Amino acid sequence: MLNPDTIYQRLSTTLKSPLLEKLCGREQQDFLAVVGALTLGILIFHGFPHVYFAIPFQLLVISYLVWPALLRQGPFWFVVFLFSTAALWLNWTHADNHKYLLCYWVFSLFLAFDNGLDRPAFLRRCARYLLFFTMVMAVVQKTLSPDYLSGDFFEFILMTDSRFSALGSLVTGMEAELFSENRQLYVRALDPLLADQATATLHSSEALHRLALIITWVNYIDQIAIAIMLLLPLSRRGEIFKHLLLMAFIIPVYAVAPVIGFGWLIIIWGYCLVPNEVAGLRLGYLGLFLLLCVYEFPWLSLLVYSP
Amino acid sequence: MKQFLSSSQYAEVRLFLLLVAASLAILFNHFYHVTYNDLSQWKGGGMGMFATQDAPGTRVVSIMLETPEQSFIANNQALGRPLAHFNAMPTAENLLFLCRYAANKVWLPSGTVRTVTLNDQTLRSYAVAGLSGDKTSSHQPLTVTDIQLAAWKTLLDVPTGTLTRVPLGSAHWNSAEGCRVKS
Repeated sequence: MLNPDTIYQRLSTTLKSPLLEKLCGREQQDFLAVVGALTLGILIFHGFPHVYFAIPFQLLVISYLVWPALLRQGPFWFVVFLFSTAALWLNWTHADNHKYLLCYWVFSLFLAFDNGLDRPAFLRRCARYLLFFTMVMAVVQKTLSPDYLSGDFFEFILMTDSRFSALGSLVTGMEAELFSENRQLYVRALDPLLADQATATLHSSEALHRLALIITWVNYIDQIAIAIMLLLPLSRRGEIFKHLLLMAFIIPVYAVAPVIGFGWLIIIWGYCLVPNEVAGLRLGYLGLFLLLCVYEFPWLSLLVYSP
Repeated sequence: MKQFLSSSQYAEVRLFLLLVAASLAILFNHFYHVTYNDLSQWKGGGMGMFATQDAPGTRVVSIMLETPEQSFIANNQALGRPLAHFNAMPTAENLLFLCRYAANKVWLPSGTVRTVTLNDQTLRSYAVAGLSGDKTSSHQPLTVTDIQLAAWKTLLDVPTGTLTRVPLGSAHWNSAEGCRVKS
């Protein structure tokens, strides 16, 4: 079995493959190239679904393909930031929260590339703040919520959300048909043509309630732990543990709720936060970036039949 | 302070604080609207997704159109941004805006009928109306004399498993009086 010192040594050793070494981002220009490219990937595939963003961004991407050095120019990120903000401004009440985070991150890239700073250090600081902000606010909202800590929220989600039904059925042994019936009853309650009809009672079970409580508290404690670890000065062993904890958050969360744009953003921040001494760990984040693409397939439904 | 604002030594900190200030300003705006305007915790940059079942998807608006000949149910999706805005933050002001938006649109019969089975197994049918952009809509505008909007959120009482509808308000339009909201 590997001991922590051996792991540390492996993560800090220069890799034989020049490609992997570049992807590790030990050198400043490699680090900035990877971070810029991954952010561009999010913006292309999971950017802002608004015409005010989409059209100018298409032109910017084409310009980048003609002149790749554009990715390291402040004005490029400024224009992306400008149109991201416009798209967000017009949809501010109903844009997803990770679109705000993406906009903050694009702003950080603009600030980093437009000024003569230590860019990797500045991006690391922004990534640490944004990840901390995300985790702390998630914990605050869950604490303030009237139905989170009791487990009611996740029980509701397990009962009615098709993305979670396969997991619920697999773990609790409840028939997949019951989840399907729950969804139908829930959709009926939302139907304007049935607004005057009495609503039904949904199916649950003690096992489903227990599963909901486990998901609730694991998620809550994991987010608290990540937020605390982002604040603390850590030893090299602590640093490795922090990143393993973040990876342990990403792997199950996005397997069930594949909000890929959000997951990719957290992965980029994780990548930025890895100290250069253990740069090999960054390859783990790049692996997760690819894993989230696999998650887009409804793979849980391969294990359980969900009507 | 003067040194902090002008010295290049603090340039990086100043830029970083810009990011912090922007994110906190948006966060305060989120909490203000959650507290006073029923903005969903899921929205508005507050990072409250997966914290409560009161997401915009639980909020429903029913829009019925009356013409001299028959009643139509409006295809809600046609109302796009104003509807999404109302679902995220269902204030009386946003309902009034949605009502006026619906009243100013040219509604067309989509040529389809929605039929649902009621709890007693009888059927209920309504013709569907859409906007000019809908692919299925015909080209004959409807003479709408009356619009009724009703909004509610559907929440599950988890311990009992029962679904409840919590009213969010209603609005009514006719050509003589315009839009009126009842909270």
